[in-house]
Amino acid sequence: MEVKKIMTELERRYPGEKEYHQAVYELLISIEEVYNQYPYFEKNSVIERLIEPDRVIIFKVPWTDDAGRIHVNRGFRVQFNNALGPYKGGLRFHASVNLSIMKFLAFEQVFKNSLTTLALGGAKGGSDFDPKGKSDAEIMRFCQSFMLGLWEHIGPEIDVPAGDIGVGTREIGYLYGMYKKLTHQHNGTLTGKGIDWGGSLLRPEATGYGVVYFINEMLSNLKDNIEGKIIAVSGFGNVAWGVVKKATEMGAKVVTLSGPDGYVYDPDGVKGEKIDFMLELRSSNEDIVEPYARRYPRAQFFAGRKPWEVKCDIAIPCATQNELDAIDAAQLVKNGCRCVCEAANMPCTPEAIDLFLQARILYAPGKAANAGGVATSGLEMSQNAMKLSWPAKEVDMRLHHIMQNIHQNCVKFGRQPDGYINYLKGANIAGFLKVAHALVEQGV
Amino acid sequence: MKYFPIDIRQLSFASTDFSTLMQKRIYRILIVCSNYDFYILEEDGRIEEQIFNEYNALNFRFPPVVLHADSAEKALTLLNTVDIDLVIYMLNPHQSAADGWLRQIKQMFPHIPLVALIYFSHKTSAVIEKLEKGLIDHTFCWLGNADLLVAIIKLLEDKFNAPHDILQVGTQAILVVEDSIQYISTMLPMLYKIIVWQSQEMAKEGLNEHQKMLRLRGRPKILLAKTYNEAIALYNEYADNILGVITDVGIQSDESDEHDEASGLRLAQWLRNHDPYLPILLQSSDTCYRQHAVHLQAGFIDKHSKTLSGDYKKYIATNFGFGDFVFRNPFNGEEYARASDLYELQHTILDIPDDIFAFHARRNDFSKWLNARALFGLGKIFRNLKLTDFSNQVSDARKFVYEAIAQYRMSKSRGIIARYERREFDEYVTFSRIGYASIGGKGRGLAFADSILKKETDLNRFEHVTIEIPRTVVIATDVFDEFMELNQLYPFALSNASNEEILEKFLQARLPEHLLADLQNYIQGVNRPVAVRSSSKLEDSQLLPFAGIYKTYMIPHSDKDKSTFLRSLCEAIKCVYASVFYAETKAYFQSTANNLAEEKMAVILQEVCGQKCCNYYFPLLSGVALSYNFYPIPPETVSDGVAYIACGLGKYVVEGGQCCRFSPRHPQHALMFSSTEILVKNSQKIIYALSLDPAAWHPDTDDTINLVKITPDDIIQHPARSWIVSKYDTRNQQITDNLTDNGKTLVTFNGLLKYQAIPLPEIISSLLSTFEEEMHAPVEIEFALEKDTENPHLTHFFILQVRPMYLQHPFPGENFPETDQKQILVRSNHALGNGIFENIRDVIYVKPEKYNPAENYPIAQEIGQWNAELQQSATKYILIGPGRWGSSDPWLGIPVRWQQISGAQAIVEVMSENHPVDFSQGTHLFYNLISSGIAFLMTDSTHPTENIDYQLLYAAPLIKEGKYTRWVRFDKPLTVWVDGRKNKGIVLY
Repeated sequence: MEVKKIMTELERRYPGEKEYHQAVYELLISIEEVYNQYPYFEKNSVIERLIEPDRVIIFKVPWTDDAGRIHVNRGFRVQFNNALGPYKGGLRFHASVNLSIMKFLAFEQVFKNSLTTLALGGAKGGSDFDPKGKSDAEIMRFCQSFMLGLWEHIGPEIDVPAGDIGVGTREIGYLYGMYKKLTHQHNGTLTGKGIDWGGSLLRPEATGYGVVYFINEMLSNLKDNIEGKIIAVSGFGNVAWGVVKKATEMGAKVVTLSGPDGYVYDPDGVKGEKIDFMLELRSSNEDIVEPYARRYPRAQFFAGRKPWEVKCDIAIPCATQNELDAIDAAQLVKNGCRCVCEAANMPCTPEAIDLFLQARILYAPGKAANAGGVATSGLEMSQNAMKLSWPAKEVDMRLHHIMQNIHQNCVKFGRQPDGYINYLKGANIAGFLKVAHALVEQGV
Repeated sequence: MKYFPIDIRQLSFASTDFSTLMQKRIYRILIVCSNYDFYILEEDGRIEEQIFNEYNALNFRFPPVVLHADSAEKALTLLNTVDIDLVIYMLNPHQSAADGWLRQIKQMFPHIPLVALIYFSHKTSAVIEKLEKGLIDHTFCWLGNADLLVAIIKLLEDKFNAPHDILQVGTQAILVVEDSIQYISTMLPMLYKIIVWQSQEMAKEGLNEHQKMLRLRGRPKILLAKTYNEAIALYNEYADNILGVITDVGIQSDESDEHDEASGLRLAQWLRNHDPYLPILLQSSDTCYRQHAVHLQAGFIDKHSKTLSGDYKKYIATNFGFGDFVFRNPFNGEEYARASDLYELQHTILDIPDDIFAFHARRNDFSKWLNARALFGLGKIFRNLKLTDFSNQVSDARKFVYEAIAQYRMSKSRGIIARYERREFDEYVTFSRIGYASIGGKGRGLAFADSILKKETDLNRFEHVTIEIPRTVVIATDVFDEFMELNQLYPFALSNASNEEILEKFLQARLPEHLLADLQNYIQGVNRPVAVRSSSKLEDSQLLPFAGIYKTYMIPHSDKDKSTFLRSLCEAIKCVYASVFYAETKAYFQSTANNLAEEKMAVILQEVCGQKCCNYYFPLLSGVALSYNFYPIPPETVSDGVAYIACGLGKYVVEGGQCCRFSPRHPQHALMFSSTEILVKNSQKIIYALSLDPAAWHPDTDDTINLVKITPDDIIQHPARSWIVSKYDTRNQQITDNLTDNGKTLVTFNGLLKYQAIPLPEIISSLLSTFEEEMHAPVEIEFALEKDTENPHLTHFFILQVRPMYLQHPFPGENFPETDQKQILVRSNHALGNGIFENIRDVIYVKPEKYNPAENYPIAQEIGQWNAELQQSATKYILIGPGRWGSSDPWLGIPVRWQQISGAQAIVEVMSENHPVDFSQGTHLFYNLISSGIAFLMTDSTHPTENIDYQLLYAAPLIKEGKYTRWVRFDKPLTVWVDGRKNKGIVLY
């Protein structure tokens, strides 16, 4: 593979689509080595076929606002690759949506979905419509118009959109309602539906649960498990909440939560009613964790500091991108941390990751560990196909199983000669290879 | 309830504009007579003084000036040089006929009435007959009584003003038919004295001194007819307003006719045929006509009665509706009860037996009595009242009368500052004052709001919603003065004593006794908690907001323990008085260069809006609406205004708590509704309520001592909860209005803003425009909402305060400064916020040439570090960079958190062709930005009239440079100008 040549051609073909170029470049760099191990990839022009979206649908979305004025937005659906299953990916309604961003996100989705081991392809869509400041009626009319442009291109076996930025349960409801009118079918196209009409339980917790399951697999691989482990968590949102719930349930002790104001250390662990209190913190507009220490006096609050200075067995950054840097990484390593698992998207800086890898501690990249959310979308599709609604326990069990599979794939492709598992490498390769092989096997 | 042919709720009562009554007056009288005659007229003193004394005794104002001319020539000279309103000519039987010059006066001055005075003698008729007909308007006998002159003046004034006052305004009249000059000269002064006595009764219905004074003008008039035909003509013209008729039995049919002994009887018969209930009083010196009077169901007076004046008064009081309303037994005429004013009438009407009520109703007695008291609006409605109009005659009619009086009293009390009267204070007195001096800024605002609500009847168009002010009593500033003087408090109050010490001293002080008596009376009529609010002279001035300086205490009421209620009320008043002298007040006065010793405090006692829920009391919602919205999110515009509402007491809103913010013209576009996440994070979490436990109150410098904070879950049993709260379904991560669902209770106001349970946004919008127009300024309105506890379909929208909108920073001016292009650092046509922000030197900006969206996170962190450094020295700065600030998606903008940029005074968001991102309105950050009043300028470098001068930035002295950003500090301070009305902004160097 000649990365430079491929990129030059890509930039020539799609000038100005920087985000898309960047995403392709990062993938190529990460799989270059394994790609070159399989000559038949080159023979079958896998990369050229992989980096080109299957289909780009662009359509106009005219809609009327409450004052009777007519607006025209653009709708997009980039169906990037369906080698593994029907296209799957979110819809984003945001003023900044453009084709480059859609292609970049759809491209990444292909590999994310591939990692879940579910039969899911990759896609992304959306519109440059911004729902903020719009009334319910306006959003409904927009969604209906959007679905008018999209419906012929989606279906439970074709393309299953979900929510993303600007598309929540409300928007999914309006979109799905219009879809049903047009198709006369209630077939589960669109995930993120309401519980009472086809949605799946555990959606909010799924990402966090998935992370904990992944960690447990990582430890199991070393003949260990999560029970009794001390865990440092950052953030206190949805993902952190799911992590705390499941980790506690599995016998671990989560001792920190953090926010932009600092972190709290609770030697007794975040459990029981304290987990419910996290919901209170989440719904506060203040975006701080300090109230936790006021509510539970045995906990201490450290203003302006990060939880990575606490001695722990496992560190799970759940908050935001680049929140764990090299200094934090060094501290964790020094304190004897054995495992770092990304629950957020890219919370560790490249330098931090390098340190983890050098120190040979278990490091799980977000694209593998936080696939729980996507996995639950897939489970929703399964339930819809069976016309069943699984209880939470069943969803949880299947999620667990999926995370085990993801882990296995990462191990399969990430094991180093010295036995160390490079999960980052494993995830990249696992995701890529599955799609690449499928592409070859399905012909040109 | 529908009574009669009228729906009681639709009753509207025309206002009587008393100030337009009695416009034509007699100010100058010219008496033409010999010096001798003039001397006789003056025998009891100077004639003018006599008239003045009579006016004084009768409470008349503007006594006329009297001029004298002893000859026709002098009279004509005076008439030509001075404005004369009345000429009184003393007829001298020894003088040759004065026809000539009288005719001349009549021709030259036809508008000036000419009255002849003659001495009583058997030659009187002969003298009069000599005169040419039509020259003299009236002739009277001079019996040495100055009160006759007053009566003449009043009779003529009544004649001048009758067409307007009676027909346009509704004043009542007594028709007097008498052709005897001698008798009318005796009778007229008596009648006017009776009328004056009645006018004092009318004045009682005035709610304040000014009203009482004006009501005197509405006294009944006397219309004098000398002949049968004249009487008929006057009756026909003023029939609807005639209280009664007094007629001699024998009158002329016409002026040229002979005196007819029976014309008066014919007149009475004619009148009785027209109106079976019209009071008619026949008078004659021949008592045989008494029987005729009985037959005609009229009264009779013997002209030679030794108690003539008393006879008149008795009859008039009984039959013309003067004096008290006496409920009489229809069978024996015995008095059953009496009511001396409308208040008593209203309360007595429910207790009288059916037959008595029916008796008076059939005779139109209610209407007569009301008209006699110048309560024309109500009198007019009752005039047409017939028992047969009601299905359950007496019972329904009685209810109708009661309700109509209640409605009338309510409507009349609106827009008026009534004097607090212990006996009359009830639910129909909306706004009253204890004391005489100022009611302070807040009081003025409330009174003004009430007057506008009364005036703008269009505001009544909202079905099932009343817009009103809460019942309010203001203790005026003179009571404060009295309190301070009584207890010699100034030296201590103005000292450096601590707030607690000052409060303690004030609590030990005594309130004036009259105030205590008024408060004792007040609490009997109150069945809600009372807010004790400050209302100082300087409060709510356009330039000095005084927001939060003074105190408001809330006292729970108690029906069972009135003494505790009274004691708490007194303590709260003292607490408000004490707050004038607290340290923060002193500091505020110092900073605003005002003299605290000159500050006067009125106290408002205002019933708290709301209802009881569990053991708390709070309104369904409280809010503030402002004329200008300086942070409009399209389609909102600046002039649409903005409203902030919260569940519970308004303290939460004015203290900047998490409210629901919306534009009244676009309620469905509230930012809070944009996404579930925004709603969950930004919805109100605590609700202020008043604890109804009396033990929760004790006097304190903290006016929130007995307020509690409850949560949305605590109000889930509130009867109107569906208007206010929704549920957050965590499984679906969405908001549901199905309140039976499990999930977290959130305050969303979906019922009001989305589903329009009542047209709240329209009401707010209407009020903002109405008050803006009245005040010629942008306004702020505080309000509260409650559901009626008895009528589930009725909602009360209470206005709590109206004041000119305080602008934290005044408008920068009509035009931005004309400046050299080189001085402009940033120019924007999409600016939010308002004001001028000066003395800013520091700028942090993202290097445009290095900008890569992939590195937005580290950019945010770099900015955060420098923000923290600047905050340590409390230095404000300008932040410049590509949008969208605060985006949660790093690809869409720099994902700064509020804490990372909270030190900025202004934020500039740059859009370029390389990074065509839409502006940041609608992010979480936006909320904090609005509440902090930070200027927000959006500039599009591709737009010809917007720009940002990076050269200037790069030339500025560097403080620090990071990988992505630069921190510079200009030598000269920068100024940020934002015109909130036009959404334009500029940063000047």
